[in-house]
Amino acid sequence: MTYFKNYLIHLIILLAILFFQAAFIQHITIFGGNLDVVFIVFVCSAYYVGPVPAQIIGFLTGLTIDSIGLSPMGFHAGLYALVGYFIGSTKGKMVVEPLFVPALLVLFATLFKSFYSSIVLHILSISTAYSIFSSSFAIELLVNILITPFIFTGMRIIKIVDIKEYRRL
Amino acid sequence: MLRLKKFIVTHKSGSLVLLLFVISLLIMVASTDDKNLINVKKISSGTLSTIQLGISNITGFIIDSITSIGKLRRLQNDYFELQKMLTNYQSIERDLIELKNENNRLRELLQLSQAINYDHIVAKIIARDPSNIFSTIIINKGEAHGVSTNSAVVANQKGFQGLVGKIIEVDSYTSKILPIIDPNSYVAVRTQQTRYEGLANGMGTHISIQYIEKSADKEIQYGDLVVTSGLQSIYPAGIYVGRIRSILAPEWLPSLEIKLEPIIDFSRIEYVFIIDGEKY
Repeated sequence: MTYFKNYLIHLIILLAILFFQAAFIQHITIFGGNLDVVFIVFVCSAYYVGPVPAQIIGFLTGLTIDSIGLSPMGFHAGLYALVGYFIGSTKGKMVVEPLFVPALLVLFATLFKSFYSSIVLHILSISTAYSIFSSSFAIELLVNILITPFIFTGMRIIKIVDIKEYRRL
Repeated sequence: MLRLKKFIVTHKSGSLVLLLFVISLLIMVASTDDKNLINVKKISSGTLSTIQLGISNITGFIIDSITSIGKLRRLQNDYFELQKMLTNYQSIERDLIELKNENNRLRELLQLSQAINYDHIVAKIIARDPSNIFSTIIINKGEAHGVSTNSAVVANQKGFQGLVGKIIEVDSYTSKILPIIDPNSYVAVRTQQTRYEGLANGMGTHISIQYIEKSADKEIQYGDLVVTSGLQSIYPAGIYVGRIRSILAPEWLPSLEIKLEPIIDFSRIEYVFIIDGEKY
């Protein structure tokens, strides 16, 4: 029950950030790249909760993103479920520290996001400006990596993630 | 069957991700084809956009209250500046009346119709697509305010009335705009000075124009303005779309490849005007 409550808190926080991001953070553009705080927080959460809860949290968060935006229903649900599985699977398998490891996971997750988007959108014949070879993607990747340690630290401060718990594993 | 059950139990995490991914794929494929599932998206989108509207209003109120002190100081400075400017404008107004009369006389001579005034609805941008992959804009006016799909959306910026996009989805109290910079957006345009027609397609950050014949290369200039041609039923004619930033004539293409900088800075728009499609 405690675990379930913990997972529910992760989901609620992600959804709150999602709505806030849609209303405000998307207005902030850094050299043509937008901040994707929801994605970073989700990667940090997935790393903490493990593969099964991360997939379910990711699937529900993704469905909400699909409902708000223009993306086809299921597009982000699939992406977040897969990212949740891959990132969640690393739980307990890496030496945890607050800077390098979260940034590395976000780097791989962002690359996977771009790879997944390119394939799925190509299959569905949906054209977007998002591309792994675009300058805005490079900026997004850089911004995501730089901002991750701060977000991870913020999550530790408000006790959403507990680094001691990682070390016990 | 028992083997399958045993496999699922031993590979719980892998089986779940496979299941969720298959569900996502099925929803994706169905939502692009089946109208029933699009309606499901519409229902969920309607509910969530109402929450979005509430969050936007509350946070907007808090931010406005915090920033109002600084605004008051700026307003005082602006007030003194405006008083000085008013004196100048009074003299300009006299010249303007003279120019207006002359303009009216010229209009009559040229037998041009007066500028068309469209019926419009003013809307505030409350959110953008939360992911970086798509570029939707969400506004605070919906079906209840008389917004309908495929209405053109314009905004005033830098003294120009520029095209923002069109309404693609309408919920009760919110609507979604497909901006002209989106790769799914196509607008029939013409160059303002030389009157060459083409088709503008969004490219994410800029707009590309195709189907302008290569012979136009000598007449079209860098910096020329491009407006809607009015050949599409959605967009009325004469709305500014962008400014030409590059002209290429590649050998492998039968037409010119023109790159436009949108007249509207999409990161800075706050309010838009929805033009009633049936009134022009």
